[in-house]
Amino acid sequence: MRDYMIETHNLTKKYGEQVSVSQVDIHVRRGRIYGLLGRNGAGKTTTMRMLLGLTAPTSGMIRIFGKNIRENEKEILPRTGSMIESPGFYPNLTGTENLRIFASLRGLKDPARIKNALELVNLPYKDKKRFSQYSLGMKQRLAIALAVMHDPELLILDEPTNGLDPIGIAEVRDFIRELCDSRGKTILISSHILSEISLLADDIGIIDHGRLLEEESMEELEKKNARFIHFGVTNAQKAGEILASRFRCRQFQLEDAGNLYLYDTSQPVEKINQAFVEAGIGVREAHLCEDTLEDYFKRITGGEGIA
Amino acid sequence: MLRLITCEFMKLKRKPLFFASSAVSVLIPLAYALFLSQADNSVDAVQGMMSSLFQLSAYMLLMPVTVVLAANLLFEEQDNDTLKNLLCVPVSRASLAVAKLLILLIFSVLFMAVGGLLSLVILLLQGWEPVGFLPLFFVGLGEGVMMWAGALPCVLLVVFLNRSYIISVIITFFYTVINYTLSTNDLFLTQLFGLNPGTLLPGPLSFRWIFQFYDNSSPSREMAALLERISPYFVSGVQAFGVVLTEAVIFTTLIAWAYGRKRD
Ligand SMILES: Nc1ncnc2c1ncn2[C@@H]1O[C@H](COP(=O)(O)OP(=O)(O)O)[C@@H](O)[C@H]1O
Ligand SMILES: [Mg+2]
Repeated sequence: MRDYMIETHNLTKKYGEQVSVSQVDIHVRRGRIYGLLGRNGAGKTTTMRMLLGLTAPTSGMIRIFGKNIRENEKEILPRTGSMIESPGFYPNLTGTENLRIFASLRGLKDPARIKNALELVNLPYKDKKRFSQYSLGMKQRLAIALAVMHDPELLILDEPTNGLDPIGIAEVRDFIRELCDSRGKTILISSHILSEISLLADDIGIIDHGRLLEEESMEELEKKNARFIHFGVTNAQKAGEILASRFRCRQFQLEDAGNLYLYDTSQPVEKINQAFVEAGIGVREAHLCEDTLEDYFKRITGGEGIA
Repeated sequence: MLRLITCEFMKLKRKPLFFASSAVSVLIPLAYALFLSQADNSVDAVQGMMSSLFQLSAYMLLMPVTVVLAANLLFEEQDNDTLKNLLCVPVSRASLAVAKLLILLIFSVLFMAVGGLLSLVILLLQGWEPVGFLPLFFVGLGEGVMMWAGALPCVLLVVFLNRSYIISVIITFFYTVINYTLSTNDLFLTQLFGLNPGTLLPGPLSFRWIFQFYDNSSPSREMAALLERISPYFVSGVQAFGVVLTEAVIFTTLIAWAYGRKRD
């Protein structure tokens, strides 16, 4: 069995009749960045809230550090850093004062912790500015500082780059990569922005309408889906039957009546083409495509794309 | 718990409602000094000043201020969305609620201490001797505890009604008026110590305790009559605080439970 930092089984959350998270099995490996990708309302935040014990699951199992969260909150939470949804701080206090409160509650005595955390996210230490006067980007940075202040092994970050400008996004991305690569942290990060996940994650989980549709490592994903052959034909159904019977190939998908995607690119395209024509299927086009993560996402979720 | 309480103090910094609430503590002594005080001797002067503090400042101001401040402290974590950060520390909702109630207890006692000390300063400025001030000052601190405990049922209600400030204020208003009225009503002042409104409600109970600390060596005619009627029903400090602290424990537990309920 693998060394999972987070593992869920059949994790489900219902709000009344509405199912927000449905039978999700997530596996986050030690020392890796796991990207949870999904549109707004897909269930990312709800999943993370359950991992942190902020919301009780309707059913299912959660293990963090191999332990059940319910009975081991006191041990698990101090080893975990998190930011969930929008940053929540006391508006009448400065950033430093806000962090001081949480440092004191966590029993961190050394004031350098606060200073370091603020420096990491490029916020000034002992600044006079109150949280209520912060810009959205500064608020977001403060939330990240809070998440890393106590040097946790595991980080759970819900859309951490929300509200940051492009430079800020790149900075945060580098900083998260750095936390993982040189400090060995395990990071679960969610986003509705595909490029962010594809640039950062080692493993990716795609969540849509509360269901985890796919969970894979980035390498596997690239290997499996980077290339495919697109056939534009008059009868995709029949073409599929020929592929299956004559070429013993099942790695294809019928997009609609006139389009077929063949994922096994080692197949002999000319021979397939010929077989189609012999069977009376008209072939408009047959060419090699590079699948982007976005195409993949569309295909998996069966809907429109994601930015 | 000590950490939680320290943190609650840190959160009060630059909070307008807290400063306004604290400022209210000087209102009655100042108003009394300016408009009401008329005394022939030092004993009367000290007593007049302090009884206005006990009856007006405590019942009419401290109790409602405590409830409003409680609502603010207890809802603050939801309003600022800081609850999730606290829960991830982890801090339990129940212990958070208890810490906030203890801060309010400290606030109530200090409220009365400030009122008492200000009264002393005014008396000295007016040229009176502070005869018998010290015992009354401590009675004032005790009443701070009583008013805090008395406010807890109201706080419980506010927690149950969950983030409706207007309703909280209305409830607080009625509760204050009822307590004040009852504390001036013979029917409740002349109940024996036991399970009855005269004992369980903070207004009449504190009145029956405080009254014996006034100097009644030369009472006016009305005072003498009142004294005669209610003196058999005085309660001792042990009785009064026994009741108040029992109530405080019960209501603190209920509030911690109500605040600790998960709401999803
Ligand atoms: N407290 C709640 N009560 C009722 N429904 C909720 C609650 N929180 C989330 N939901 C619903 O659950 C679904 C998933 O929401 P969420 O986890 O926030 O999605 P995401 O973070 O992926 O945008 C949404 O349809 C949302 O309306
Ligand atoms: Mg979300």
